[in-house]
Amino acid sequence: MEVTFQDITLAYPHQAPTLAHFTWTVPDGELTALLGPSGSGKTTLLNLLAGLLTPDHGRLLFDQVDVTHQGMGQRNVGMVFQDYALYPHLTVHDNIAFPLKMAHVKRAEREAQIRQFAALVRVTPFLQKYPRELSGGQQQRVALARALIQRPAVLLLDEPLSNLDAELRVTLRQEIRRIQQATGVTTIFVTHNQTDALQIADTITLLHHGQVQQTGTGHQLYHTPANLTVARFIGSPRLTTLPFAALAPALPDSLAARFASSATLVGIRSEALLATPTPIPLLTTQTMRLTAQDFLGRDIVSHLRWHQQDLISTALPPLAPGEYPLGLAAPGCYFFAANGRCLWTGGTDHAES
Amino acid sequence: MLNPKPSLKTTLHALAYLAPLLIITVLFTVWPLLSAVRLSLATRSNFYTGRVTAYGWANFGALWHDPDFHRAVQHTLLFTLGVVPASVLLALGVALLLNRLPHCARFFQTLYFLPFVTSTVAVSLVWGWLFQADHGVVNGLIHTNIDWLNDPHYSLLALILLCLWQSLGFNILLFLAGLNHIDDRYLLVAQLNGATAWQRFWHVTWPLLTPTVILITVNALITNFKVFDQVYALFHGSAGPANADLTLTYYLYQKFYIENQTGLAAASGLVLFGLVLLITGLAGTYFHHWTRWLRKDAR
Amino acid sequence: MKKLLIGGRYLLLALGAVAMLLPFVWMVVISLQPAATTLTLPTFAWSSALHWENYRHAWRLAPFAQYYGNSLLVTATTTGGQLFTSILAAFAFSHLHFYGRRLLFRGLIALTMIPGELLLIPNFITLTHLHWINTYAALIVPWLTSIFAMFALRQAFLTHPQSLYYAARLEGASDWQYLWHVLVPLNRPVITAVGLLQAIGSWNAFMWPLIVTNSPRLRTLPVGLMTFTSQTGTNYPLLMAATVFVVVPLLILYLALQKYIVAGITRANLKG
Ligand SMILES: Nc1ncnc2c1ncn2[C@@H]1O[C@H](COP(=O)(O)OP(=O)(O)O)[C@@H](O)[C@H]1O
Ligand SMILES: [Mg+2]
Repeated sequence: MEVTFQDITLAYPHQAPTLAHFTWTVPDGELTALLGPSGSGKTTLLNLLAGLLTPDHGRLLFDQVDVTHQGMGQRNVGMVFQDYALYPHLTVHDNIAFPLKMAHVKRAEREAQIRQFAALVRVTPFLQKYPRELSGGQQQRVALARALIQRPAVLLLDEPLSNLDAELRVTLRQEIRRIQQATGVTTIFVTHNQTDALQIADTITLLHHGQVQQTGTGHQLYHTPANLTVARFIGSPRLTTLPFAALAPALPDSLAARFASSATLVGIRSEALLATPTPIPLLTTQTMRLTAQDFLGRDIVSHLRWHQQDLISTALPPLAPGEYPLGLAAPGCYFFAANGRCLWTGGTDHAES
Repeated sequence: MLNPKPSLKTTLHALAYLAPLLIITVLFTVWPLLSAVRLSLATRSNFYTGRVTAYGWANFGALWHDPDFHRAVQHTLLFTLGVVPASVLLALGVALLLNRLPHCARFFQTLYFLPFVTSTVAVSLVWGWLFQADHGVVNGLIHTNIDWLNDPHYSLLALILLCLWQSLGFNILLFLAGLNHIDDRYLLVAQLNGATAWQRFWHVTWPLLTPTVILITVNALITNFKVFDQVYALFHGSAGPANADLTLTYYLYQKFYIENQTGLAAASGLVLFGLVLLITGLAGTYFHHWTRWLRKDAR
Repeated sequence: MKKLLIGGRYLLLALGAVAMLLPFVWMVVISLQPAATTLTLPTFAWSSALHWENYRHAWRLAPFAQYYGNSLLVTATTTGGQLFTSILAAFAFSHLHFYGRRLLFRGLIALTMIPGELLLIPNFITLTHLHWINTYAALIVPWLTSIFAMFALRQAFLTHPQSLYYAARLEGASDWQYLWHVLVPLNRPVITAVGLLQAIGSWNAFMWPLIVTNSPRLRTLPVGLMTFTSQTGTNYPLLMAATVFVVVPLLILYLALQKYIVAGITRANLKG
C-alpha cells in the first residue's frame, strides 16, 4: 500500500514544529529506508503513520484513503519498536498469538498462522520460551513475527538493529530483507546508520531537521547528492569541503568560469584524491603534503594538507610523510551553492538533469 | 505519553474508567466532608434527617469551653508524644541492627511485623490481660503492683505501651526500605576515607535517611492522632478510668454515637482534620527543603 | 571484636523478638488453661493439662461461625471491589489523556488526608437515610474504592515502557483488552500486595462495623470478639481462645504471603 504524507505539520507541546509542511510518498510493496541523524524526526513520522500522533495540519493517505483521524487500532499498521515491546508475561507463542487473539481468530486457524510465521522468522524452536530467555536477535524476530501476523498494510521498523552487536546486525539485516521480499509488505525501516540503509533498502529517504533532503537509491544518494547535507551524511569517511574560491584556480578554466558566480563550496570524496599517474581522467593535479596515515584494516586514511586546507584520501598506498603530486578525479567532486544545493556532481549536472 | 492532546472523546473514554472510583469517592468522601463542615456549623438540626435549621460557630465555641474536649486534646497530644518519638527511635535502632544482618534478618522482620497484621481488638484484649493488676505479666516482669487499667495515673501509659508495641514493626519495615535505598558506595567511600562506624552513620546514613525519618514520623503522628480501637478494646468500651484515656477520636465517637451531639462531633472531627493538615503541611515544607538540599548537594 | 559485635546485634534482636512474641505466646497459653480459673503468674503451672475444650466452648458461646462468614464476605468483596475500581482509575491516570487529569489526580491525593473518623458522622447519616444501617451494604459499599490503592497501582503501571501499550494498541487490542490481558497480569505481584494490605485492613476494621451494625447477625469478627468480652467477663481462657480465632487466619495469610505484603508496604510508601 502506498502511503502519502500531505503537507503535514506537527509540533510537540511548547516546541517549534518538528515537522512543517511535510510531504512524502512511500512506494507500495517496497522496503524504504528512512535515514537521518538522531533527532531528525524519524520516530515522529512513524508515530504519525501508526496513529500514535495526530498531525496539527495536513493529511495522511493510505492508497488515497484519508486516515488522518483514524485511531491506532484501525489502521492495520504493524510496528516493531526499538525495545521490541514483547509482553514479558507471555511465551513467544502467546506473544505472536496476541494480535490474532485480539481479533478473535479461531484457535485452529490461529495455530496454523503462528506456525507459519514462526517458521518465516525462524523462531519455531523457542515458541515455549519467555522473551527474557531469548537473545536480542531472537527477540527481534519474535517482534517481527508478531507485527507481521496481523497482515499489516504497512510495516514500520524503528531502529530495529540498534540494540544488536555488529555480527547480528548483518545477519538480521539480511533476514529483514528476505522476510520483506517473502511477504511483499510495504515496509519503512528507520535507521540513523547509513550502512544499514544502503544494504537493505530499495529506496532511501534522507531526513534532516524534519525535511526530506532526497529520495533515491543508495547509489543515487551517494553519487548525485541533492545537497550538502546529503553529501555529508552519506559516505565514510565524511566528505571534506573547502571554499570554491580556494580550488577554482586549479580547475579547468571553463569549469571554474561556469560556476564562479554560483558555487561557494567544493566537496571532495576521499576516493577522489588519487596517486598519479593514473588512467582515470583528472580535473587537476596538485602537489599536496601528506601529514599522516591511519591504517584501518583494509583502508588507509591519508591526511593531506594543501593551500591551508585539510583533505582526506582513502585511495593512496602506504607512503612516508612528504610532498606528493596527487590527482583530483571528477567523480566524487561536487560543487555546492551558498544555500547548500548541489550544482555539479563530477560531470552529471544537477541543474541540467 | 504520545498524542497528549486531550479531547472531548478521550475525556469521556477516560471517565468511563474513572467513574466507579469517582462515584464512590464523591458519595463517601467528598460529600461527607462538605456535610461534616455543614454539621459542625449547625446549631440546630435533626439528628435523623440531618436537616439544619440554624447556623453558627456555637459548636466550636462549645468545644472551646468543654473540659472533656480539653482533656481529649491533651491526652491525644500526650499519647502521641509518648508513642511517636519512642517508636521512631526504636524502629530505627532495630532497622539498623537488622540492616545487612548476615542471617535470619527475614525471620526477625517477620516477628516484629506480627502485631501489625493482627486485629487491634484482639491484640488489645491480650494486653488487657497482660496489664492485670493482680497476676498480670507486666507487673510480674517488673515486680510492681500497679493497677494499669484502673489507675488514671497509669492507664494512658498502658495505652502508650500497647501502641508502641503494635506500631514498631511497620516503622521498622519502612526504615529498612529507606536504608536499602541508600547507595552502598557512599558508605564504602566513607570507609575508604577512614570514617568510623559512628561517623559513617552520622555523616552519611543519617542525612540520606532524613526524608525517610520525616515520612515515618508524619505517618506515625497522623495514625496516632486517630487512636480509637485500642482505647475501646483495652478499656472495654470506655475511655479509661476517670476518662484518663479520652482521645480526640474517642471524644468524637462519644459525642456522636453515645450522646447524639452531631454538631459537636463534626466540629471535633474538623479539629482533628486541622491537626492532620497542619502536621502534613509542616512536614511537607520541611521535606521539600530537605530533598532539594540533598539534590543540590549531589550536584 | 567483629564477632562480638555481631553477637551483640543478635542478642538485642532476640530480646526484642521475645517482647514482640510474648503476648502471642500468652494468648495461646492462657487459652489452654482451665476455664474460669483466675491465674496467678507465679503459680502458673505448665504441667496442668491443656484444655482444648475452651475453643469448643468459646465457639459455642457466641455465633463465631456467623462472624467468620461476615468477615470473610466483607473482606472478600471490599478487597475485590477496591482492586477493581482502583485498577480502572489507575489505568486512566497512567495511560489516558483527558481534560483535568492532573487536577483530578491531585484532588484525589489531597482527599487521603481527611481522617476517616470525620467522615464517619455524615456517612452514618447518609446510610440512615438509605436504610442501610444493619445491612451488608453498609459494611461493604463505602469501602469499594481506595485512593491509596489507586495511587500505588498507578505508580506501578507507569513503570512499563510506553512501547508496550502502543504495540498492543497497534495489534488491535482495545484499552480494555490491554488493561486486562497485559497490564494486570504483568503487575500481579503489586496487585497482590495492595490487595493483601486492603484485606488486612478490612479484616481488622473495628470502628465502622461497630457503628453501622448492632445485630449479631451482621457482626464481623473484631466486633463479635469485643461483644464476647462482656459475656465472658473475667473468664480469660475463653476470651483468649476466641481471640485466637480472630488472629489465626491473618497470621497464616501473612506467613504465607509475607513477601508480597512487605513489598507492597515498601512500594506504596516510598515511591511517591
Ligand atoms: N514526546 C516528545 N515531546 C517533545 N518533543 C519530542 C518528543 N519526541 C520527539 N521530540 C522532539 O522532536 C524531534 C524529533 O524527534 P524524533 O522523531 O524522536 O527523532 P529521531 O527518531 O529521528 O531521533 C526532536 O527534536 C525531539 O526533541
Ligand atoms: Mg527515534
